[in-house]
Amino acid sequence: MTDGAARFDAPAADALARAEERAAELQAELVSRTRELARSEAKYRELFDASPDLYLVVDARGRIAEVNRTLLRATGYRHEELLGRRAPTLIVAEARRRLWAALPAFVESGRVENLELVIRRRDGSPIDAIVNAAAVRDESGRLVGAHAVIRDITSRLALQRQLHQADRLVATGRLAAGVAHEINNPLQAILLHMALIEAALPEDFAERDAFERVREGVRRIRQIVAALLDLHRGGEQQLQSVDVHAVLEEALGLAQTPLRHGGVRVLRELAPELPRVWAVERHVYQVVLNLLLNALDAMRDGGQLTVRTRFLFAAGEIEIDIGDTGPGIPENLLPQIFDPFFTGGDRSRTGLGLFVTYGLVRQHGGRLQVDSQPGRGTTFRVVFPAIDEAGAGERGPSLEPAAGEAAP
Amino acid sequence: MMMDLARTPSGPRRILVVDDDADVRNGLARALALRGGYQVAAAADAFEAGYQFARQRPDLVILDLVMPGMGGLEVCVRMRRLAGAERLKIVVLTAHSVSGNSERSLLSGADLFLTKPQDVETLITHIGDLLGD
Repeated sequence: MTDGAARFDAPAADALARAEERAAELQAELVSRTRELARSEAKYRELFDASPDLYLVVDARGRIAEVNRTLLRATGYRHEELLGRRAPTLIVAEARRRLWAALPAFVESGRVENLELVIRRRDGSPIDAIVNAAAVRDESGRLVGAHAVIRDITSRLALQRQLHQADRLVATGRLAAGVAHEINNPLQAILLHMALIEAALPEDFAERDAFERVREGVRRIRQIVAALLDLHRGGEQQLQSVDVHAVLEEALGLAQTPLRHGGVRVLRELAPELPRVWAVERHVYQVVLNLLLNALDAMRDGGQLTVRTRFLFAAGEIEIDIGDTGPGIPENLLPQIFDPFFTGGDRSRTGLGLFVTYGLVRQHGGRLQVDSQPGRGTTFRVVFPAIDEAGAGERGPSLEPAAGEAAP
Repeated sequence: MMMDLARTPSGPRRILVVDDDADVRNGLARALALRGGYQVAAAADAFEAGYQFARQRPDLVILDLVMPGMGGLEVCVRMRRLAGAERLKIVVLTAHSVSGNSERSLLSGADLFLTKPQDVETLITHIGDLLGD
C-alpha cells in the first residue's frame, strides 16, 4: 500500500514539484516581462515626451486621453487641465471650421494629413500648427480614438513672413530708386526753367509768393528723391568709426527747439562706455534724427522722450533705444510701418522716414525693431555691430545696398 | 582732319550741352547763356554732339550719361582722343547717381561728375572753377 502509494505518489509529487518549478519560472518571467514592459513603456513614454512635436491622444468622443510633455510646455497647460477636455477647444475658434471640414475624410480614411490649424495657448496666444492624425480602431474595426502629431510652425511662419517682408522691401526699394532716377531729369529741367523765369520776373511781380511756393515744393521733392537714392549709394559712402553718443547729442541739439516748445522732457540713459560703430556718420545721424522726429511727432501734447544706449558685450552689438510716451501704433499697422509711403493716415508726411531709416540700418548690418503699446508709447531700437576694440583699425563690414542695386 | 581746339583768346567761353532730355538740354542752354554769359550750343545725342563739337569748338562740354545710341561715357572717351583736347573740360551731369558711375566717368576722361538736379548757380560756379575764370 505504502509502496503502491509511494509508487502512485512519487510521480504525483514529481509532477507537483515540476509544476511548482514551472510556476516559479512563469512568475519570474512575468516579473521580468512586466519589468521589461515597464521599461519599454518608459522608453516609449520618454520618446513620446522628448519629441519636438506635440502629441495628443483622443478617445472616440474627442476627449483628450493623453498628451506629451512637449504639448504641455508649448501650450502652458498642466496635465490634469487637459485630460478629459474636448480636444477642439484647444483650437482657436476661427480655425475650428477647418477641423470640422476635415472630419468626414478622417472617419473614412482614418487619416488627417497636414491640416493647418491654430492652437490656443493657456494664455490665449496662438501657435501656428500643422496636424497629422491617425485613427485608432478596435479589433472589430470600430473607431475608438485618434493619435495626433502637431508640429509647431510659428517660428517658421514668422521667418517666412520676415523673408517676404525683406523681399518686398528689396522690390519696392528698387522701384523707388528707379522712379527717383527718372524724377531727376524733369527736376533738373524745372530748376533750370525756374531760374529763367525768376530772372525775367518784374520787381513788382504780384505772385512772388506763389513762385516761392513752387521753389519750396521743388526743394521738398529733391529731399525725398535724395533720401531714396541714399539707399542705393551705399558703396560710394565713406565708412568711418562713429561715436554714437556724439551723433545722438548732435541730433538732440537739432531737435532742441521742438523739444522745448512741445513740452517734451528728455530722459537720457546712456551707457558709460559705448564702443564705436563702423558706419557712414551721416547715415547714423539720419537714422537717429528720423527716429527722434518721429518720437516728437507722436508727442504733440508733450510727454517723455527716452534715449537709451547699451553695449551688449556678448553679442558685440550696441543698442540705441528711442522711446516716446505717445499714443502708440495700433497692432494691425505695425507690420506696415517700414513700408515705403506708409503714413498711418497723416497726409503731411512722405511716409518715407521709417523706410529709409530701415534701409540705412540694414546697410550697416544692423537691425531696427519696434515695440509699441497702444496708450503707452512706442520705442524704436536700433542695433549696430560694435567695432571690436581688439581689432581696431581693421576694416569693418562693407556697406551693402539694402534694397538691391539699380541699373546704371 | 586735325582740329585746332585752342581757345580763341577773346569772346565768351563756349559750352556744349549734350542731353537727350529736351527740357534739360534747352533749359541748360538758356540758363547758362542768360545767367553765366556763356555761348552755348546743344546736342541731343552723340551724333549731333560730334557735329556741334566740330562747329563750335567748345571750352567745356556738359554730358549726359544715359542717352539712346552711344552713351555719354563713350562720347567722353572719344572727345578726349581728339587732337588738342587736352584743355577741353568735360562735366558729366547725370540723373543716375548709381554707385560706380562717378569713377567710370572720371576714368573715361571727365573732369567733374555731378548728379542731377543741380542749381544753376552751383553749375556756374563749377564751370567757372574748371575754366579758371
